[in-house]
Amino acid sequence: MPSAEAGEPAKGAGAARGLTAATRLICYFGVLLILLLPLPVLYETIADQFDQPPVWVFETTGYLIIMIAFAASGYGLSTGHHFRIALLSQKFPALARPLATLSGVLEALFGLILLIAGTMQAYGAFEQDLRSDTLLQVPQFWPMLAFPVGGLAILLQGLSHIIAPRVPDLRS
Amino acid sequence: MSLLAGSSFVLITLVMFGLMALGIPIFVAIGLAAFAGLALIFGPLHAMVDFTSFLWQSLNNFELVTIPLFVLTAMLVEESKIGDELFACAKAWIGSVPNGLGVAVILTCAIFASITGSSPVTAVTVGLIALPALAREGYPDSLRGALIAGGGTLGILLPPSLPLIIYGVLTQTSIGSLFMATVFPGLLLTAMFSVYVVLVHRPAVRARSHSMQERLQALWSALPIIALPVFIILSIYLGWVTPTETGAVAVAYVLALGVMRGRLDAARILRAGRSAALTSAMLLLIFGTGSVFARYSAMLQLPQHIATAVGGVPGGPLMVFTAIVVTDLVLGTFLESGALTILTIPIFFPIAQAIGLDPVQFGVMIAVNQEIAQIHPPTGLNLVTVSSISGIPLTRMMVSILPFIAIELVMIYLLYFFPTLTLFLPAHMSMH
Repeated sequence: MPSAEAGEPAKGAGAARGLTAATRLICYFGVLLILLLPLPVLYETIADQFDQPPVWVFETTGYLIIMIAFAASGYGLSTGHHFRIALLSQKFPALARPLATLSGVLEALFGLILLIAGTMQAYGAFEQDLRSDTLLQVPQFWPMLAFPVGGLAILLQGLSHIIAPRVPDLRS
Repeated sequence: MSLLAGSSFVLITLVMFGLMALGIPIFVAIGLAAFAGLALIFGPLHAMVDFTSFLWQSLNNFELVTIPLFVLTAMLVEESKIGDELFACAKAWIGSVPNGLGVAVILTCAIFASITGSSPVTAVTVGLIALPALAREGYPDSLRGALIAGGGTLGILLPPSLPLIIYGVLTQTSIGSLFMATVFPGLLLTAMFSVYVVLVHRPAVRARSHSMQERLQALWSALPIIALPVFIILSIYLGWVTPTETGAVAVAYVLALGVMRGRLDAARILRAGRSAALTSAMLLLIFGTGSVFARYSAMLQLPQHIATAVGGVPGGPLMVFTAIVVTDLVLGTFLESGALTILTIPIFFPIAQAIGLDPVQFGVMIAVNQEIAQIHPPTGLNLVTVSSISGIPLTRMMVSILPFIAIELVMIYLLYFFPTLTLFLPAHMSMH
């Protein structure tokens, strides 16, 4: 998939690079999970042929995709994998930098909301000892941690973009 | 819906599109708008609880697992460069007919699309292989770019179409049925594109003829790749496996093929995993935040209000359907296909049902419509992508892409007037 934003790499601010490095680290957890994702589904495919579909696969893969989505969410903002319309910046280059800063501010705001809301949700699940309805009885606290972790990654990347705004040059 | 709630919805929607226009990442714009909407109804604290709760409910879905699996397949295919054999095979068999290389490009795009389910991946991968070959044979820049951009759109229609997976989950329509419903329209569109390519360029360009031995060698080399889309379609049609299971089998197959051919090593697999995780995150976050926004609009009973209002529109179902097509096209010029699906389907789907369209038929029509949006000047994603990988200015493709758009528009109305084109295979498939 082509990069949605072929902007200049973050440069100048060491802090911005450090924040991006932190989100990259979180992202690699998502990379590991997506490479593992086919395994339980393949197992389910084989078991299904013998009319014994393992229910745990449906549950755990659901958790896995949530973790993948949120673990890779922050770093995707720096690699240009998140779609955005860069038409205005292209037509009016003078606006590109302020718009990139605004984008960083709103990314950080969204990350903060997700971090707080996700923490509240996960803490609530922990306090009430919420478990899944299946035989596995997975404590919901663990998979729900994906939200605050994702929120943190988006917040960090947003802060990085406030410090060193990325100026996109391609609409996608 | 009270006037105040209605006004606030309109305002929030306008702000959301305003943020998108300012270049804010689409999932952030949708997420903030959805949160603001919930906060207006319930207050900020309760909105936080609902926001994550709705996100959790929308993303915790086994059918969505299909998305990262096929995205990973696409990235592994891209890394293993198996498109080379596919194009070489198509070139060997069809290259010597009038404008045959152009037809080979369309066929390669169709087969490639049936593996990756992604329009930009198809355009990039086939484009990098075919653009230089087309230039060598004397195809003008405008036609080269249009061929790749137009052919690449087949990725949205042919199974495993990623927007159709999102549509299926949103509308609770069988994804297997949707995949099957796209087979005839996809093949028909491939044929229409091919006929157009044969006729378009005069004097016709003929590549050198290949001997039967060369053709068979090329076919042998490409056969394992051609087998994959055939497996995907047949296995779902015959009810052997579900679409999600097909995704896992496709990953294993491409991985095995790439390793056996020496095209995939640990570094390339890791790179494919990285691209797949980042791309899946983009799609899933748009789906998740879009679902929260859809829940917010459903709380205001907006889809029902719109469907009721549209029922009274003069001109009947055809006029209403045309209005959907035009609205979708305009929005699709600026929005990515996944975002377009998630934002518009909660509104359009009840309308489509109110005018008597089958959910499967409507899904396929929407997919074809999104194909047009991908190549719609001036900002269609495929046009921009092809321009960026080839250096062909966008302005040179703007006229040559119009016939592809016209063919797709004809296809949309063919699907409207002849529902059998979409509903025949789903009616005869075995359900898993």
